[in-house]
Amino acid sequence: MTGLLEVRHVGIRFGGVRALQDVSFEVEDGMICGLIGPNGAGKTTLFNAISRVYDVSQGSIHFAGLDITALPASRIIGLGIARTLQNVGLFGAMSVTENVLLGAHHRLRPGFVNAIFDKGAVIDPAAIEREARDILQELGLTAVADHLAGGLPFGTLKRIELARALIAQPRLLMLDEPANGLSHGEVDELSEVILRVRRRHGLTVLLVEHHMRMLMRISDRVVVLENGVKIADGPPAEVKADPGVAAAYLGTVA
Amino acid sequence: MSVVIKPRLPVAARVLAGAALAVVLLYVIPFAIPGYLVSQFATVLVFAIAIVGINLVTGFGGAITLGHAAFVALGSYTTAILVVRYGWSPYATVPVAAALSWVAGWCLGFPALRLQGLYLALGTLVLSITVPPLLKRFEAFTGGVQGLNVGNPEAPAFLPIDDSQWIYFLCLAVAAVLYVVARRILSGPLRRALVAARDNQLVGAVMGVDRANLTTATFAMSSLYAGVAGSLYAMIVGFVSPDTFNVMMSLSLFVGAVVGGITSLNGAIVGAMFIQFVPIWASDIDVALGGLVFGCALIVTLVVIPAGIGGLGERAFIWLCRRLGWVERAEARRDNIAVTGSARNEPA
Repeated sequence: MTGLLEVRHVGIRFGGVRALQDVSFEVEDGMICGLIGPNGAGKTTLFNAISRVYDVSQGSIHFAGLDITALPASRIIGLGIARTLQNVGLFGAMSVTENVLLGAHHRLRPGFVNAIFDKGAVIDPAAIEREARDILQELGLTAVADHLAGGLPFGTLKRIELARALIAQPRLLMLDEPANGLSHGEVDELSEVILRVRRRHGLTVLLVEHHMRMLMRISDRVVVLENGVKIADGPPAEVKADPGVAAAYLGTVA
Repeated sequence: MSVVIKPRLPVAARVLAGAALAVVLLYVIPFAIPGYLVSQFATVLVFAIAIVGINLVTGFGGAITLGHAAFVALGSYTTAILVVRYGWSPYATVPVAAALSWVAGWCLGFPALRLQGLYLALGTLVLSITVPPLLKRFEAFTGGVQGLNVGNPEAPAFLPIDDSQWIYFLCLAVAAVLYVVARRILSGPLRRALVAARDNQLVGAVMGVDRANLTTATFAMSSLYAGVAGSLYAMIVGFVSPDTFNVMMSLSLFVGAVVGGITSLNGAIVGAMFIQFVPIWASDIDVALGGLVFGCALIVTLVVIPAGIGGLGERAFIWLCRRLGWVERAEARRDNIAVTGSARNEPA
């Protein structure tokens, strides 16, 4: 069986630094795949390679059978890959609703001609706005819908980013450290949210996370990176028992 | 945490404001002030059109341009050459000037994508330095240093107005159309995309905003505004010469955009009045001090109100609406959703 997302022998170099070396794995349709590794292991680099923010030096990336290795970054979301960013990429000067609506950019495809003549829109903007409200409600963000995104608490920002990714109607949702900076209770709540949106929106999820307990609980499969190399790949229980993984994390010699 | 406030004026207030604006634009300026001021106000409208172009490309496109006068020149010379050499009606040259400057803007938008910030500013500066000598070169066409005598369009005989009132109304009509066009460009999804690409390129790209395409289109649109402004300018002045469109004009338009508020469309008219009247008043005070007064006024504006006079005005307007309770209530909007939105009511 081939996966929805296939990463084949991907290597990335920044000057003399090898950020990733010969990393291969697949994410099958409908699963939650966790990506872990110590700081600097190359998790976010891999995310950036998949969303085409970074160019890969070797290998290829395929999504739904299509080679996306050389596509421009702005095409990716339209193919069905939406993501959140590690340090939250929201626009502080826009309202929460506006930020979420930006996620539907590729669906609205606004141009100068249809903006000026108010015609020829690909999809009814009012319908998208309704959708945005529904998603905000689904994620418990209705109360802040009209607030400026700048100055809201970090946990809320993470949810807004999730909302923005959902309105893109992705097949693959990539979350970069969604639990980072959240309190204990919030992390449990986030796990529920992720499981729920996956079910409701029919998503495949690729998740980078430091929060071990959460990752092991919700992932169907876990890929472990260390120093840019894949050191383990399998179901959570197996990965947890892998002596190499323990060594990478705890520094003990097996 | 700050809530986004959407002003919602009562009908009476809207009608009153509209009527006041109409009286000023349609009666006071053309009929109640001295004639020589009328054509100065026509120039103000033309500058405002050009400044809206800068609002688009610099305020929302995030690209500093100091070459705006080059596109104004293109529009002016298109009109002048078509009228003088080919005997066109001046009015028919406006769309041609618009189209040509749009195309020129599109072509120059490509290099603009490769330059950023200060480098783009310098690149466009070169453009406005190059244009006057270039115009002097092709004498057979452009009239060289002498320039071209376009003549002022005459008011139609059936209207009881003089030529400067006629050109004022013409500029007003064009400015009104272009203002509405800019408003539409800067509303909804396109505005979001522009702001996203401007404020964070990476996130913009991840959200599917094709910055290269968008910047080129914005540059082209901005040039169209400059070109139309140039075309009308040729009609007001009745004469074009290369040295009108020098670096000073580019800088002056940019100053107007900044003083009016770089992202404020309504501020464009304020910025235009600033660059039209302040130098005149300043040199009335003292010829030698003219530039100094102009400069000081600019610095004071930048330090005291970086959002520009238009930005300040918009903030004051929102503050006033809030005090008066003329605000779209968020709860009301949400009730509306419950009725019109789909029935997905599961609490999160």
